[in-house]
Amino acid sequence: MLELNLHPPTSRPGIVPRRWLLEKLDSAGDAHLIAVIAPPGYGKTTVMAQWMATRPLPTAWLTIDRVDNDPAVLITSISSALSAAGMLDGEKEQRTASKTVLTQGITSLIERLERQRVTGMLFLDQVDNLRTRSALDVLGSLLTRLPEGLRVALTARSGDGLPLPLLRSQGSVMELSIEDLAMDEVEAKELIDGAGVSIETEFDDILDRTEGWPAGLYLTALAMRAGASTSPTPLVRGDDIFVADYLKQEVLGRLTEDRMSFLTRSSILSRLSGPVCDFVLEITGSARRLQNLESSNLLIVPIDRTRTWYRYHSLLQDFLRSELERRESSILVSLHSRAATWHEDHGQPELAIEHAMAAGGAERVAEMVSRAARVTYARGRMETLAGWLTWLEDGGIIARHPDLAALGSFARSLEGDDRGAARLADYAFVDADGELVEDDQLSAFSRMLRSFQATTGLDKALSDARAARHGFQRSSEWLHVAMGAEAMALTAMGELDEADTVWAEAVRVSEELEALPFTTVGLAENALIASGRGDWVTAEHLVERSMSRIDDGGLESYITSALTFVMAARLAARRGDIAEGRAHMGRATAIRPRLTIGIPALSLQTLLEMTKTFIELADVAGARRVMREASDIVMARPRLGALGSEHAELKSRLSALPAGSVGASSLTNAELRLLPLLVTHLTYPEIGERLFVSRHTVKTQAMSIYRKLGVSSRAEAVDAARGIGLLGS
Amino acid sequence: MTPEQIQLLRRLTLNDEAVMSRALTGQIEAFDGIDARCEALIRIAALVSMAPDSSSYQWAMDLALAAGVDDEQIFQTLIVLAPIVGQARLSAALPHLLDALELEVLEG
Repeated sequence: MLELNLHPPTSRPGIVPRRWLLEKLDSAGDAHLIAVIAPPGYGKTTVMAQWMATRPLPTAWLTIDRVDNDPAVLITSISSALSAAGMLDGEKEQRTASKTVLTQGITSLIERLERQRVTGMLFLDQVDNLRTRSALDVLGSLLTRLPEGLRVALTARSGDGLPLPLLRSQGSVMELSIEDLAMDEVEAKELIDGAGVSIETEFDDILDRTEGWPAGLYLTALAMRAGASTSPTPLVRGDDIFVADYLKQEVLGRLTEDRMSFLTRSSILSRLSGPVCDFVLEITGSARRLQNLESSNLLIVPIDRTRTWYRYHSLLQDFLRSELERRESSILVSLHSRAATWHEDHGQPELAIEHAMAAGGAERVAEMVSRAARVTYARGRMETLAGWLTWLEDGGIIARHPDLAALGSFARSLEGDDRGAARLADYAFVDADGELVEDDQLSAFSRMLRSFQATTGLDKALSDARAARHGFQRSSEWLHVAMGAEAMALTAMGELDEADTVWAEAVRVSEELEALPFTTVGLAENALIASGRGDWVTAEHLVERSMSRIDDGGLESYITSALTFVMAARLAARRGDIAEGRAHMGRATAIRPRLTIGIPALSLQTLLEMTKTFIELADVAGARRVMREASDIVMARPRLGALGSEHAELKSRLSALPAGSVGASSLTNAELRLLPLLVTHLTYPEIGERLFVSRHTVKTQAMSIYRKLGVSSRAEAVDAARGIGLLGS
Repeated sequence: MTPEQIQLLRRLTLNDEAVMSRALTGQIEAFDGIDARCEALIRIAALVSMAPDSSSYQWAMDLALAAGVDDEQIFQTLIVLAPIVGQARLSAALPHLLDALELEVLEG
């Protein structure tokens, strides 16, 4: 589906060339951003497509889709658009393992743009489809930090959520609005002629009443064509609410029932092709119908050159959807349900789940989410996954699906959200009546979750993990995660030989699945055990493998990557390369706020290894800061076996060391959460809103960050943090 | 106390500006017997009685943690301090101290 969004709509006969608008756009000069902002029906997309055709290469196009509301998806879409246009080499982009580090993805994209000296123009159409704050923040960060040479031209219904005031104050934006987009006499005449209508006397009146609003002119022309002799009242500008009436009475009123039914029923789809319409509407010949609609100029836009895919103009689509609800609300469910099936069969789980939600089939959504969850996590689409889980949780559905609750809880643990994880876990171990389920009746998911949570001691964690492993089929995509749970329990118990074997097995299975997050943690665990045996050569080799998986997968911010960074730091320290060691520790430190009791054994183990490594790097303050987090976990989960004793030992070792000096490694978790947001264009009050703290708190924390990094401004802080790995490598 | 230290105290008592400025800029070596941890706790105690803004608390906590002070020692310091500074000062300082320690003691 992304492929479809990478081209401007194909030009059709009857489209009016906007010559003087293009001239105006060409005069934009140095403006980095060209913003075309007007309500529907002003021909925003058309003028952008026309302009793109006249621009020197390279140019890239992206139609913003609803799925782009997940910032991870948006970043992928933008870099795909640039890559498809040959403007950006296909490096792997960073994925975000947490909603709070969304800026890491955009920062990494901006750095790639700068590094590769990307030049050209990126067209972003229908930016108003972005509704989530996180996606708008990502776009805002890109727009305010565009590298020299790259320009962006965007269209939107309104400028809400975009940093236009900031860009205006920098003098780097050119805006086109309603006044610019309104058609003059010549253009209006051409438009009406192009629609196959000839008007003589009423023309001035029509132009006057519509005030040059292209959709008004066009619909009036269509109405005249449909109504033959009678001359309808022109559609008046600004009266969007009358568009529906107008379309109904003047334009579509005379369509055959069959055609009207096709239009309304297919309007539930955001993109239309013959096959999808045939399937959803249970008819044949949809491809031909779509072509006919296009040739009769009925506000249907071809979006690829082969005319396989179309979309309705948003004015028409809004109307058709409300018509469908009015006419046949009883078949909405079955239409959405079939649309869900089609998209699922065609590997588009996001769209499939969206339709399944619209169909209201909670059970089906639950099943589809279970199937899509692991890959969605691995692809860094946390916002999408969180959205599904919230929908299921709000609807009370998750309470009836222990598997899904377990899965959701696990996903939130991996994101470091221990409270969300605990809330969902409550549903994982009870039946429909709220009674605790006997162990042997629990699903593999629930037992795997309980094993990772280790709430009832390590023996239980081990038996849970083994039961989960047994419960998943050999072909299950979750088998390697259950193996990881088993290996984790063995590690915490200090059964290192056995743990080593099981980790290696988990790595093998996860590599076959290309399940990178668990591959990397397994490799790091094997490396740690090898180093404990004094086998540094093997450790070095394993860490190298793990690091390359992290780079390939863009897994910089995943909690499963932290141990690899720690091991890489330790290896660097052994080679005497303190600077490199500290940089790797910076990358681990950036993940620190998410090492919580959600997955206590892995978090504690990682924190203890961080402590030891800081000591090796002569950073006593850093070691003590990390130790404090480790102690919190031990306090909450006192039965963590060998890890618990190691904690006590390290603590007494630390107390004998002299005072350390406060620096970057002493950043608090709150400061670490704030740091990535300093990269954005957001002001302190805006950052405060996103982190749910006051402006004053943000300011205090920012000052503390500056002090620890030895800098005195936000820009210097970002540079310094980047230099020591705190904002990714 | 060494004769040098007595001399130093004398100068400070007399408000000798040169010595005072050395003291204010931390150029006077700490006396033996007070280690970094004690110093960090004294700093916290002094701050509580001065009621500064929250960023000073964060820095004092960071120094204390880096010196190896644990949460319990900070807590004990506050208990010692309570009758001296009074309830109002202490409860004004506590939210800042807890923020700096990233401790949430109140539900919600």
